[in-house]
Amino acid sequence: MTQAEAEQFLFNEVRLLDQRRYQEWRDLFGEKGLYWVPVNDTDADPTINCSVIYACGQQLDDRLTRAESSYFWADQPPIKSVHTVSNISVDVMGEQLVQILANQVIYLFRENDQRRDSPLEILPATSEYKLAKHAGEWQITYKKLAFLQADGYLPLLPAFV
Amino acid sequence: MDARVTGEKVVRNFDQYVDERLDEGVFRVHLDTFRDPELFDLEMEYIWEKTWIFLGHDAQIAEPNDFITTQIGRQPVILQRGDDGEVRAFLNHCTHRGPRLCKTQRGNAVRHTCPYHGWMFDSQGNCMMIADEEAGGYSQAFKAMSHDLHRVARLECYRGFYWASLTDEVPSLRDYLGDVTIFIDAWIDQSPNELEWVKGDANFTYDGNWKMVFENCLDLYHAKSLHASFGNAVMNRFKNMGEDERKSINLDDFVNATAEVSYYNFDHGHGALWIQNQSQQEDRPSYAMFKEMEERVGAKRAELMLSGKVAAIFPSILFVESATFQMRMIRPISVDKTEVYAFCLAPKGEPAEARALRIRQYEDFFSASGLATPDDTAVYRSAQEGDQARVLEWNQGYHRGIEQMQQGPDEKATEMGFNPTLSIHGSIAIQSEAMYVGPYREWLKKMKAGQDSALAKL
Repeated sequence: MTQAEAEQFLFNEVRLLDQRRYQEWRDLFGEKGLYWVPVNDTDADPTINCSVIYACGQQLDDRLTRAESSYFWADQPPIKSVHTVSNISVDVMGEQLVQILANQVIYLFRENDQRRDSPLEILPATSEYKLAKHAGEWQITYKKLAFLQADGYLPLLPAFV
Repeated sequence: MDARVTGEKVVRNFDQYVDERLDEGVFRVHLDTFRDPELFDLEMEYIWEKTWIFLGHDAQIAEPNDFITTQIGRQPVILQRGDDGEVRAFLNHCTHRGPRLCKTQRGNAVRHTCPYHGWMFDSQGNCMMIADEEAGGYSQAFKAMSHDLHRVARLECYRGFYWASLTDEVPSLRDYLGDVTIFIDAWIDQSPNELEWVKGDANFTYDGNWKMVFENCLDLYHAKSLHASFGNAVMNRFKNMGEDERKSINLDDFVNATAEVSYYNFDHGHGALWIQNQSQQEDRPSYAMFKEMEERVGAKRAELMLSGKVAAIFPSILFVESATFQMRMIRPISVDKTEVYAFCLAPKGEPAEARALRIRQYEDFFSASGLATPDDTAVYRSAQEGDQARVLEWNQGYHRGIEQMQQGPDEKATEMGFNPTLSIHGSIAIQSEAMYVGPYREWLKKMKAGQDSALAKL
């Protein structure tokens, strides 16, 4: 995977979130892909500590069900997002395996909220991806999104961020 | 509201805020208690700063010199294990000019040095050094003062849980808690070695009054509607079962009407609920240790341990077990802003597989991006905004189940040997939201007593 291909992969991945194309986004993770958003200490072992999200397989499907449900009240009115991705570095670990590090800034805003001063939430984060090639397509085997404010105030989040 | 002015104090008739006429089937709480900023200040003064407030768990300050910072009402507090191993609580305030001495949420400090003028205190709160004291020309009167950090009036521990009070005029913590400890014990005793703290806090902040989260945890009525998307996810999961045995969600009783429930009120404003005859008990993390629990504490108490249950200790702490167990500490910020510090506590020695299930269930339900709690958080803000309809004085949300309310214990409580002041028992379909009588009786009692004692000082 070249630098340009890695960038395109990430740009596409976050665009799926911004466009709320959650099924397509979820499909990037396949059956084994792990999606991790830590809390407090972002290097704490997620198998023995609680996280904001630590999900794969069925748990991603649960979140997808919620995201697509008309009863996801925390997302009413809907939270729109813009992701900007930068500082991308690619570490090719083999023909079929890469690791990507990137910084992200995620902006969240509620569309059509009666309270027009509803806050614009800004979430800077570092991110780490591991991708593996399956049947010619790159899949996410691991995505870690560590918010700068992981140890502070976190706003209500969309189902996937 | 009627008010007369005595000196500088506006006297309020607090009776007008709580309309309790149970014999007529009426219980209401005035909406001003959720939206009047002056009333919020009075709640801080007369309730929060004059009763037992939960500060933290022993596991958060396990080592000598460990500390956490918190608040009692509006007042900043340090809970620290001294270098001598003893736990103390003092105001987070430099005796000299007032800066906070601990600026972090948690840490380990042998001493606290104030950055402003360099006064230094040890981990027991004693003043070790007044910078350049010798040349300071201090008076005898100054030298006679204690410069130590101000200790809170009372600090007591119930089985690892520390509560403090800024006033001496409170019953012992044990008397304050009363029989609600049956519920607290049902978490603590799940392991012979009690509880440990699983790191990774699910804190949240909402734009609503502090009483909303307190009320929410004693309300089963909201589950089917507010948590419908969670229900959807569970139903979908049922469909897929067999392919994936990893069940991180248990929502049995949203769909299982055979369950029963008991609701309780206790003296001093505490409430509890206990869901009985739940299905899918084997999916609960505590099931892994059930056999051992049953042998150790007997069948009745083991049943309570494994059940879904809530204990709301007025006014500051909620023990909530839905899918799994969460402890929530309420920190009111203003009339329409509240922070909730939420912790995952788990039995020590729990098998690794059960622990993993517990952690995943905890995230799924409670986290900032969980499948349930964010809907609660969002609705508190919405209710706070709706309650600005000041033409209206009352909501109608305290009546569901009121006809089933009985004085004293129900059969389940009698069986277990505890003594609530009020009970409701029945099918889970009651989804009662009537058990706020106890908490608001205490609210009223504290507000009146606080005002009386403030007036007596004028």
